[in-house]
Formats: sequence, C-alpha cells, structure tokens
Amino acid sequence: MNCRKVNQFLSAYMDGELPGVEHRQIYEHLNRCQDCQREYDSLLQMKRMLGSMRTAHPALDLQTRIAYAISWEETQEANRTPDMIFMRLRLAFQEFFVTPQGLGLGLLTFLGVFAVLHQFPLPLDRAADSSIDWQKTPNSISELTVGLAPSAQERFVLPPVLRTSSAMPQEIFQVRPGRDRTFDLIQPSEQHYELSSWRTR
Amino acid sequence: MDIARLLTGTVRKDRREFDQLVNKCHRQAYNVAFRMTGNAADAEDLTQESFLRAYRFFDRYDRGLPFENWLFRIMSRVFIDELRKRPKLKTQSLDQPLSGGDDGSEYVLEIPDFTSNPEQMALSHALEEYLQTALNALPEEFRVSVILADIECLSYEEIAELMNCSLGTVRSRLHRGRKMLRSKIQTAQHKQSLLTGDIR
Ligand SMILES: [Zn+2]
Repeated sequence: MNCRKVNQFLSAYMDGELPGVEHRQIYEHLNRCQDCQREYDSLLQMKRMLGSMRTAHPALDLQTRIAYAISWEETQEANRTPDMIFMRLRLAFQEFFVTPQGLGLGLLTFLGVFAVLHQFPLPLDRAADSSIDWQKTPNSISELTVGLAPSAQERFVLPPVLRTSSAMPQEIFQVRPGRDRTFDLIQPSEQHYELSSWRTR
Repeated sequence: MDIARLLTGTVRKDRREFDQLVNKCHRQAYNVAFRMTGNAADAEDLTQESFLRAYRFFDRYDRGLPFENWLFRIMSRVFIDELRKRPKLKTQSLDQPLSGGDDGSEYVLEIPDFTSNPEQMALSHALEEYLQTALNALPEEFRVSVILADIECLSYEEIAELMNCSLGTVRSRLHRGRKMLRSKIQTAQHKQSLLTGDIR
C-alpha cells in the first residue's frame, strides 16, 4: 500500500472500522513511514479535540417545555406540520396559559360575562327572526320554536340539562322533534329545522 | 399540570413511557443539537422539534434499539432538511477575531498535548469556541457525521443507518470533515501566532 492509499484509510483505521487485513497493512505502514504517522497523529488529535468538547447544558426548563409542546400538539392533532416559528408562538401562549396571571385573567373575564348577563337579562320574547346572531344567543334559553316554515312551526321546551350547557346555541340548531314536546340532538345532515324564536328563563 | 388532560381529558397510552425517555435523553440530545446548530436558541428548537416528531411516530420506534439512535436519526433529518433552509444569522465568520479565553491564556488557540493525557484534553474556551465555529462552517452532512462519530462515539454502521447512506459515504465524510476542521484550526492558529508574535 502506498502513502496515498494509506492516507485515505487513516480515519477509518483510527476509528477501528477497517477489516483485519487492511488494518494490519496500515499498522505496518505507519510503523515505517513517518509522514503517514504524523498525518495520523494529527487526525487523531482532531478526533480527541472534538471528543473533549465540554457538554453543552440545556436550560433547566427544556424538559418541561418539551412536555408542554407535546401536550399542546396532542390537542392539535389536525395540525401535522408545525413550523419552528409557530412552535415558539405556541410556547409563548402556553406560558401565558399556565401562569397564575393568565388563569386569574380568564377567571375575571368569565365572572364579568356572567355578571353582565345577569345584570341585563335579555327580553323574554324575541320576535320571529330567521337571521339569528348565534354569537349573541343567550345560554339560558328554556323554550324555542322551530319549523320548516313559519306556518308549520313547532314549539319545544328544553330539558333542564341543556339549559346549563354553554355549547347550547349551536346544538339547539340541530334538534329533532319528539313526542310530548321533547327533542333529540341530531347530526346537521339528518334533518334541518330553522330556529325562529326562543324564550329565555 | 398536564395541558392535554386539561383540554381534552385524554392522554395517549405511551405518553408516560415517552416522558421518561425525554427525561433520560434530553440533555444528551441538546448537546448534540448544540454542536449541530452552534447556538442555544436553535439547539433548543431542534431538540424540541426532534422529540415532537419522535412522539408523533413513536409507534414506529423499535424498542429493541437504543432510543438515542432513533432520536438522532430524526434530529439529523430535521437539522439537514429544515434548519439549513434558514438564513444563518449566528454563524461566526472564520476571519473574525476571537474572544479571549476565560483562563486569560495568551495563546488561546494552543492545542494541548493529547499524548500526555489521551483520555481527556482540557481545551481552552477559545479553542473550543473556535472548534464550534469550524464545525458550523462544515457542510451539514459532514458536520452531523463528525458529531455522531467523535462526540457521540457511534459506529460507522450506526451513522450510515441513521443518515440513510452507505458505509463508504460515512467514511469519506468523516475523513474529509476532520481534515477540513483541522485546516481551519491550523489557519486560525497561524493567524493567532502572527498576532501574538509567537512563531513556533
Ligand atoms: Zn506513508
């Protein structure tokens, strides 16, 4: 083996990644060739230097942040391609979400909305109106009227359990008339009534 | 407090097992990410993104193999595919003067004599900083190969497997990568010795 050939194998030789025959050939060459031995020493020094670099330590909360990021993604299963930039935004949100200030603010907002709704109750009867603003539909509906046309309207009394559901306005939109003024929630595709008026408690 | 449990009321069955792996491996993963990216912010992003993907595809993880290797496989892919598309903001130019070492040594780039203490060389902070700068300047595939071989001590076979390339490719990347690093360090040492008037 000439020096050129030996040189190509020096890294693999150093890493113990050469088959026995080649390994011995390089070993013997290095014993009698000072130039290649010098080259070998210098490459070995490079390898040792890299191996001697200090361990970089992560921030103490990295593990927690990884756990939060995973938890967050579990709630966002639909989003399959998170970008690093979005990840940072998410983390910023999560930090806000879990701080006592964040929770306090949320609680205050909730109480505020609650108080306003009770302070200023909505009129008892809304006129028949097909353009209902679902955002503003109160949660405290106890009675509603649905119908395919104004002439064929049916009236329903909501069971108590639904009156307390915060997600109620959207769900009410999908109702099925049953016997004795009861109804079931149905899938949107099944049967489509239009809510034309409602009564609050 | 667990956000997933709060928001959805459900947690995947293997979450506990994965959390334990994060606990066990995140420091090592961060160190590798730091050597790949060369800075703390990108290293944190890379570590987090790698664990996220690992969790996403955790059902494909072969429990018979070391988790670290599987994670490094994901990490090198994320690093090579995504991070290099971004503009390199923090890459230090090799011509830039170096900051001095903490130890105040005059010849900060002096390479310690590894023959007298082959186990662990004490690198000056300046030399280590320069080594990282030189690493940052390597092409990504070379950099990842060198880090996995010389810092993580993986075998060629393991590196080939996790980088999806042949043993010959690993061998040539490592050989050329180390030579590139050496020439960068030697150039720096030469400049340093000219600056300090120490011609050896
Ligand atoms: Zn020779």
